[in-house]
Amino acid sequence: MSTLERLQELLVRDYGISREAIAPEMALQSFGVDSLGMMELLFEIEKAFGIVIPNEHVELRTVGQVVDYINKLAAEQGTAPHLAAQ
Amino acid sequence: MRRVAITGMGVVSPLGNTVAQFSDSLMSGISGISRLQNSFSERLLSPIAASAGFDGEARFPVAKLRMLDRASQFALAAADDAITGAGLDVLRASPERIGVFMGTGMGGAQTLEAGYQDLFVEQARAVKPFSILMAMQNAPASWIALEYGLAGPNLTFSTACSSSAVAIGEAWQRIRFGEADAMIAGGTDAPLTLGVLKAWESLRTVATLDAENPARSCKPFSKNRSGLVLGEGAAVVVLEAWEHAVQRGAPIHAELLGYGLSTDTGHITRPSVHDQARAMQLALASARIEPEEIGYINAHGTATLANDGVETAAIKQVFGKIAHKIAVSSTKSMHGHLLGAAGALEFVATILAMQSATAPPTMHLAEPDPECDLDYVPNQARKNLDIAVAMSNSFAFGGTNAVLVARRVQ
Repeated sequence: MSTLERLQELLVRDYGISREAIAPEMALQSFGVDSLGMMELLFEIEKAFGIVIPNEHVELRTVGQVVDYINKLAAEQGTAPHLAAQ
Repeated sequence: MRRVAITGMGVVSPLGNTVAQFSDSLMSGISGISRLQNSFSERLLSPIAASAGFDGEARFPVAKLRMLDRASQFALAAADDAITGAGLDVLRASPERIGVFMGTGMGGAQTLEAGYQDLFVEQARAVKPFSILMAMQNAPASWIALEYGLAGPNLTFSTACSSSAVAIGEAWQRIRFGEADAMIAGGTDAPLTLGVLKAWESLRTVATLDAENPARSCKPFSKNRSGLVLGEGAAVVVLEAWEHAVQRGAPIHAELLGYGLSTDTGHITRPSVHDQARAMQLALASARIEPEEIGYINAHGTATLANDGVETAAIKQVFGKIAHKIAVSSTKSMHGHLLGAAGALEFVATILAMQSATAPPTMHLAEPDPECDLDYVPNQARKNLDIAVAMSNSFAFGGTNAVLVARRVQ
């Protein structure tokens, strides 16, 4: 399962949106993720992908940017996101 | 000072999640108390509770639900029914002139416990980011204000079992003194967690399970009463300046006439006859009502050994010889003890009693305690009872006694 697919699964579960509607260019704000909601999303991503998200400010506006960020952290931390998700 | 109308009511309760269902069960003596059957009930000495059949998933979108403790879910549902029933158009009424006062005892207990479970038991690296926002005591009142854009005063009262009676009384004051035109007031509690139930169990205040008929476990004013049964839910009323309600043609269920507040200073849990009586007297005085005008008292009636005798003595101190002529009942015998929601739910029960000219019963009262010698409307509702003015008592651990007095609308 790719990072995008895994993220889609999480968004379907937590935000009640349909998988088909989730494209990389989709804005997080369009399904209600504001700055507070982002804390929750990052928390769920840590659990789902087995990565540690550092306490740093990163501008993440779209689903695609989140996927890229997960992949970058996974590479740095030596975790394979698609395996950690199993 | 302005008069205060009650123009809306909403409940989530062990006796149903609409006011109509609540009223039907209440007046039919149907109990919401049952044997608790869940993942942890085996760990309880007395696995009984009054659960609300409430499904948050059916009521709220999933993304919103994840921000709401069960206590906030109850509060939002009850507030929605109350505001809708009142036909309160917030924008038209001016949102700055409408506030929210809520009471809660345990607040976001479920969120806290889930967080502790993750952290201490599961050894999680982090707790859920919404934990603070879900668990904070003022979350229910804040969510109601957010939902309807109510920009008036927003306060949360936590005085244990009298929390929501205090919230309603304090809201009444705001309208009376012209600081608000309408107030959404009530209480909520969702205390049916292992931690909270065990803590109450350790205090030895929880009723012994009646294995044959679990509903019969809670027996207020009975000689063989053994304690309270915890319940969950919320009750919310819309209070409104009388003229404001009349001008917009709102449904007026009753008039909130008076509110009395006193404090026991002798002991953290042991109630005081003198101070409970004082709260009733203060409520009567602020309502400008003579004792003989009271036709029904919804007692605090927890079915603990300490409460019921003291409350009986306090009622006798206030009402003297006529105390025996007043219908007094403990509806906790059916809906259990909702802690921070108890005062508001029982205030709704009090209004329903006046509206339907029916005193709800004290159930499971077979053998009265000789110390408890009032007319407790045992085991069956009393119909065709002319109740023009009624009183609702709420007393609390910590000593905050709150009494509300309301009048029927002709």
